[in-house]
Amino acid sequence: MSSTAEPGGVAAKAGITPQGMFVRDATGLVRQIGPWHALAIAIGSINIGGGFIAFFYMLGVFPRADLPVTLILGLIASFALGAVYVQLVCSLPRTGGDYVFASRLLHPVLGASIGGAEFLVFATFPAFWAANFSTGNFQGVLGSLGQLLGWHGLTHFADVTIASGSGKFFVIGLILLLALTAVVIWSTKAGARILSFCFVAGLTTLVIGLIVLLTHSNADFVRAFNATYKGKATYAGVIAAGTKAGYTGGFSFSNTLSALPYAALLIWGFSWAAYPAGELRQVSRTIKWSVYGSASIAMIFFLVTAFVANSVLGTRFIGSANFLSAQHASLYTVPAGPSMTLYTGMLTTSTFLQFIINLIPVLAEIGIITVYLMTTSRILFALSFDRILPHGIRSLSRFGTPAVAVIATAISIGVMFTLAIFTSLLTVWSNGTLGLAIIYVFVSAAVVMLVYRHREIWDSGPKTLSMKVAGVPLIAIIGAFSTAFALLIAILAIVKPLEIGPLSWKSIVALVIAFAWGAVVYLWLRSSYKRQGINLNAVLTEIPPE
Amino acid sequence: MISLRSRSSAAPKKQPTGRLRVFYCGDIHGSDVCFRKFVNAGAHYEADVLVLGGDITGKGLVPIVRLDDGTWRGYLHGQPRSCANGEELEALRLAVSRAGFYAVEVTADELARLEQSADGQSDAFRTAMIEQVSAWTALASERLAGTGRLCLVMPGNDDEYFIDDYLGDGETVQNVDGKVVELQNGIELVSLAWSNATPWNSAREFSEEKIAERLGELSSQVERPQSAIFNVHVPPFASGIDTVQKLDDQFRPVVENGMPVEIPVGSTAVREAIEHAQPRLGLHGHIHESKGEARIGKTLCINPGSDYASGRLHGVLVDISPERVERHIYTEG
Repeated sequence: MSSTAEPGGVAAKAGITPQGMFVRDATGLVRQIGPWHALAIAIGSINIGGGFIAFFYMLGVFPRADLPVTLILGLIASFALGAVYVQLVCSLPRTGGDYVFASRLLHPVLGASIGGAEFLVFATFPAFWAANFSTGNFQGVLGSLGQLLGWHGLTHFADVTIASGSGKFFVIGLILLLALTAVVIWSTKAGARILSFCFVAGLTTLVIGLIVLLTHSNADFVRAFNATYKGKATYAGVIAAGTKAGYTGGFSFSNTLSALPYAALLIWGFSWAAYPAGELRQVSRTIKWSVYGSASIAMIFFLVTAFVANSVLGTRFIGSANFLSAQHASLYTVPAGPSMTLYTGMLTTSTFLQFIINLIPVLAEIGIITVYLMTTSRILFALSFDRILPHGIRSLSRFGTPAVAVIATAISIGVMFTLAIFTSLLTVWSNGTLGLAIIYVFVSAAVVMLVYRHREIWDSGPKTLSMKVAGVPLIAIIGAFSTAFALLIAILAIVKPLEIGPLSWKSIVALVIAFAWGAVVYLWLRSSYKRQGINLNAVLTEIPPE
Repeated sequence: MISLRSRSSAAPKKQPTGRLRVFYCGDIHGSDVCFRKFVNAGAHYEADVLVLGGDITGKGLVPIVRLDDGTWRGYLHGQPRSCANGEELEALRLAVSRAGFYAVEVTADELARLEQSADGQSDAFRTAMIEQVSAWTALASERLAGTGRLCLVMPGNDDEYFIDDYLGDGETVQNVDGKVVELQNGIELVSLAWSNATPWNSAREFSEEKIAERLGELSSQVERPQSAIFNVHVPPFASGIDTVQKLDDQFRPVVENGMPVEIPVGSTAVREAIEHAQPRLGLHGHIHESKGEARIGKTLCINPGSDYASGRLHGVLVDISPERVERHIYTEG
């Protein structure tokens, strides 16, 4: 092997590489985000802790769905979307995710529309969880910490001083948001460490919560439930009320199938590492690890949770509680909504375990807010790089972080959080799920376009699924299936909005605004650039090589 | 090795407006599809001048082995590819070329010999590079002749010296390395292919002192530095467009506390030259993953990055006048 290049000679290395080629001495491409942090981003986005809290929500709509079967089928359907993202990231490994895929593979206007929608729609999710943090979960963890340490002043502070009042809730949530924003601006590494911590600690607390459930019987739960709501509600009373309202128990095939999209929603978020795709190291390996790994981890947790819920809490009980809570609230006399963390907490008197169980939602909320600050800012960054948003948004801080984009993201989350605390206006954004489903329709369709309309890109990049079925590339079939599945979720979000979010003219207007503003800005810019002699469409589309 | 060449004028024949539109990209590393896009970028973006800023040749040689049964087998992106007939073989060759590698057809015995011989590989690389660069020059000459568009190319630190003889036809396509070229409205283009040291011992690496000396010689030929463009392959040191992950002796990323360590690897000599001359614009490549821009005094320095292996051409379109950079926009064609 020659180590020094001389004029007229090529410094080639003897021996073939594992990739089946010979290489010479030349500089190499190195990227930043490795599999571990990409997995942490995806796990943080899936928000397993949040899913654990709201685990039963599909039963509110389809109370006779068989949870484990629904989850398994939902996972299979979601893996189609996962395969779509893996292929798109491998073919277009650029920061910006859906905006890049849509603008390059479908149309620049559509890309701008999706990028703009994500900026607003994505802000509602962390805002929702920040509101949950400030209105109850923070107090819960603080109160149980006081119990654990014997600091009664802390417990009193949590249970009384900050337990009520919109102003106090606002301050708590704002402090959390500002603190996490400061960390993400200060250092991407520090933000990633928070994610890693929430990932490891969050999964640990969830495992402990499941162990608490697994070490108790249904009889233990019945006793605990009746003792907790002494005089207000009983386990048998909930089941009886459910029967009275029309819930007959048992499983129904149609309910199980109908609940599929809701099961898929539980693990959506596994694709979030696509947003900083330009920073992924060994893109193909990292994105596969992130997407399939996070979806698998989440689904294992949810499947175990489903089996435990059926055996410990009782299928008839969870069906009745969710059916009543969602569809017959007047018959639901339990003071709190159905929740796995709530039920798990009832089963133990240990102050340590109570503290751990209370940590589950808090870790999930901190993780998901951090994830959104780190990923949504990358979408703004990409829009700014393409000049669709002002140039200043892509400027870096003295710490090398996209500070302006992060601050803009934090402001959007802060505005949504304020709406959630002081008004009921956040509900107009509650069709974020519909928005997400629409985005996934286009992203899934984009991979089909990649195969058939952008052969240069398709042929040049790695093919994650190279198999063909009847002459059709498998990824195109998967893309078509994923498009149909996302479309089904979009339709369900419209016709079965219960639990996903009320559909009203206000929420439709909000969604139209979300999708329109990016497109309007793009069209205005296109016109502006045209006057300067630049064709913006041409800038964002592929140059014909022939 | 490279002599200081005289100033030359390369004013484009077509000057539709007072401003000059420059399309810049670099680091295509043997990607045939990227070069074809580069040639077509002039018409696509309505650019007056096309600049290819170095690292033109590929890094990998993909052997496609003819098997006893008359079929062919090779690897692309680590995945095995079989070809049953000539049509499939041609498709594989094309895919290899698009990915930025050189395809070489061999028998199993020839492959075994090639595996044992660094000289044999070196010869195969040389042949493939010369063939490709010659073909590209011919393609650009054919497509750009009579369009009024200038096509200015230069090698980079990864490009062997022997390609200089095949790079450019001296008319439509010009190799501008080590030259000061006048474009239009008095805007001058200063070009240098060299880089400072890298861990890979690539072909055109020099000490910072040598680079400073060379840039000093070139800068002294510039009549109006304040309106000039520095087309220097390596970006200025610690500019934010020269950031990479730190590697150890085995080229593995250095990780501290679970996070990769990032460092600037640009040239201090280039930075000093820019700080001193304060040209209007700096166009750089070299660090594929450090796409972005930086201000060094009055100079706007841009690195459009590279993702050549995917077949997408990262570039930047700059409208420039003697007075200012009027606008710039990144492209991903």
